[in-house]
Amino acid sequence: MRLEAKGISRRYFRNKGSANTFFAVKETDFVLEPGRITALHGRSGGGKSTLLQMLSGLLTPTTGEVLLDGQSLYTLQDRELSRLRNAHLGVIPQGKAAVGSLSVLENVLLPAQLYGQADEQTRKEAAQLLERLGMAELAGVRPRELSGGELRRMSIARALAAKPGVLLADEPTGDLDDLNTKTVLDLFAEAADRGCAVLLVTHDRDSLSVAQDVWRMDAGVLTHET
Amino acid sequence: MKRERLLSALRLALSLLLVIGIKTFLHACVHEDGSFGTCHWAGEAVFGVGIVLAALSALSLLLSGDRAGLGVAAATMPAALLGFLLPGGLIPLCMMETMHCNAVMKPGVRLICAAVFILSGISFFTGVRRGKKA
Amino acid sequence: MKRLSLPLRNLAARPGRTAALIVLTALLAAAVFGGSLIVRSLEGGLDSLESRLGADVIVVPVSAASKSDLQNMLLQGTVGYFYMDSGVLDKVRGMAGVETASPQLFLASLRADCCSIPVQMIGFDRETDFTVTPWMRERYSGDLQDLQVIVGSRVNAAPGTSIKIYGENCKVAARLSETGTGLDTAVYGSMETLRSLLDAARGLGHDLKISGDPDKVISAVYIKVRDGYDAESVANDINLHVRKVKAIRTRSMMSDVSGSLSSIAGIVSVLAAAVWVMGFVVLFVAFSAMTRERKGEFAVLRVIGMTRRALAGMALKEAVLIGAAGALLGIGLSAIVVLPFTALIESRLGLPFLVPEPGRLLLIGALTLAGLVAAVCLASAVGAVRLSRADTADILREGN
Repeated sequence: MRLEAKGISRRYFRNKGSANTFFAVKETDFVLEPGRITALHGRSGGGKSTLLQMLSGLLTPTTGEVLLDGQSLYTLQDRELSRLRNAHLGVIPQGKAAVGSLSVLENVLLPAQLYGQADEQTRKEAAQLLERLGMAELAGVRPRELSGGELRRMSIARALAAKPGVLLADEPTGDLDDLNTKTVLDLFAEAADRGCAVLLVTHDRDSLSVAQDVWRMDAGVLTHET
Repeated sequence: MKRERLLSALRLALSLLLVIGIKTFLHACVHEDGSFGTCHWAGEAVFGVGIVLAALSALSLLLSGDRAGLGVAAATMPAALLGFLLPGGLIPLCMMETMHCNAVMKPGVRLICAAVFILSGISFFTGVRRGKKA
Repeated sequence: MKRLSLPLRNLAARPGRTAALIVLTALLAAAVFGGSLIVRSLEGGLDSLESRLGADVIVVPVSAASKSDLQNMLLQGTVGYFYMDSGVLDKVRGMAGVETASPQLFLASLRADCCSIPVQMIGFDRETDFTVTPWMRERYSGDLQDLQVIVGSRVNAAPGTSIKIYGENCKVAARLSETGTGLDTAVYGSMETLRSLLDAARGLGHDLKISGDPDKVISAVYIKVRDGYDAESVANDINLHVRKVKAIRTRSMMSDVSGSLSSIAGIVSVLAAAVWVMGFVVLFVAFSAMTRERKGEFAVLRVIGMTRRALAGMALKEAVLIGAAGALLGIGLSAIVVLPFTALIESRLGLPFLVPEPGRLLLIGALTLAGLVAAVCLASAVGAVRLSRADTADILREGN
């Protein structure tokens, strides 16, 4: 699927209620094409995560609009936007993102269960994903027993298992070793081959090599590198 | 297993409460002239049943996890039922319901016996279910 | 894993905290249910005492009886017996404002068959009585023969059996309905029955402290005041003109009772309110902490496409489950503690205590349940609403 941002920006107040504002993302255009991996790098606090969240339909931009195959996300009601996110957007957020009461496998299957039932095929693929990410034995345990890297891989499996049209990954390989990093990048490449538009926000130089497009973001300003 | 032990221990504590209680705060009516009414004998009978319940509970605490423990739990149920029925049912109490045997002894004994009955029922049926699974 | 099961799974995943919250809600439910049960029962007892007495003024001998003697007899079932000459009855009947005057005769059995506790015997006049008869009619339609008695609900004697009083066998005709007052532990018979028992007692050598002719004594006169007359002035009139008696207005006796009742009800309400304020604050803090702790989890659910509504709904369902479980536990426990021991509570409080009928009890229970679920939802709602309003992006950022 094609995800396009037109003239989006995001302004924040430095202190709550004060007139002192700054732009985390300055007005910009941005496109994620189907079948391509786009990498975004830059210094911390440069606005990368803010951009990613606006693209994932979680953060309303101050100006501009975000279009998924021509459908403007932020004109939708919460209900429709939520369903759309569930069906088409795979988001790998930063931080330890897990539902504590569910097992690792259940967490991975959760997007499929939210508006229906996971079929046999989905279950099999979810198990295979965990297997490839080296977590087959952890499928039944609770997230609180996992290390940071394991939680990250679970997040990745959850986003991929839903077979999204757009994959938005915020530092997915940040706390992974080389071997796991390679597996994850392979998985992303496979997703792109299936026609998924992939955005990879990263600090990691190696990750940039798998990308067809590389962008850099500093102090809210986006520049195209390659 | 841990839960089973807990249930047995709880039963033992309740049985001991019954044994001690019937001689103290759950006593039968005291007559000024030193004579005994039937409620006194109801109290004595409950005392006996209480000792039996305590012994059974101690046994099931020792046997917890064992199949024999199931039988002990099953045996505890009719004994608790007997304790429940004794005051006011099988043995009549004093005529006035405001008297100690009616106002305190009967409801107290019945509450404890009902609790022991329910607890041993839980032990028995969870034990049976686990036995079937195994 | 259905959507509905997610709240249950969340609760089950943290058994310690869930149990603590349920116990806390149970405490609140017990305070409310137990408290209203006790207050309702006290009110019920007062109402039934008022309706069962039925008299506006009661006349007793001044020598033996003070107001509190009669009151103890009626409220706590302590036995009392005192006598005056039946001439009082004629004098009272002749006074202005007296519509009906009916005598009663009291006697205490020293030892009924099984128990050494004295039983209060009350004899009423079959022709003029207006207090015991309507009550008796609820359970017994026949006429009371000599040596036939009806017993209060707390006297354990089945109709058809007999009880032995002063060597005389009295057949039990019926057992009365419960009033929650001292009237429940008394035995009732006709004036004639009481007179034969009185003779039997004297024959056995008991000193009943009767002055005058034993065949012509009565213990009390129950008076209904004519419309348009004031009970107080009738009572004053009697006190002024009839010697050696005291006329007591039942209303003044009632106001004593309702005075102690309202002070007990006040204490109970203050305690219950204190438990509630504390409990609610704890619940609120617990739910806020829980929401904060689970922010990341809620953010994930939003990221994978759960709507704000569904998210708030999930948090609310957890609260409802906790509230309902706690309320049922608390109501059940306080019912188990209070209901079997009403006789004990009544004798300790020394006040009429009539437990509401099962339908009303269920209603009180249902209201407690609803109130508690609402309170728990309210305690959790602030967090849930704030959470569902918050930008998921902000939460994710804080989580970094």
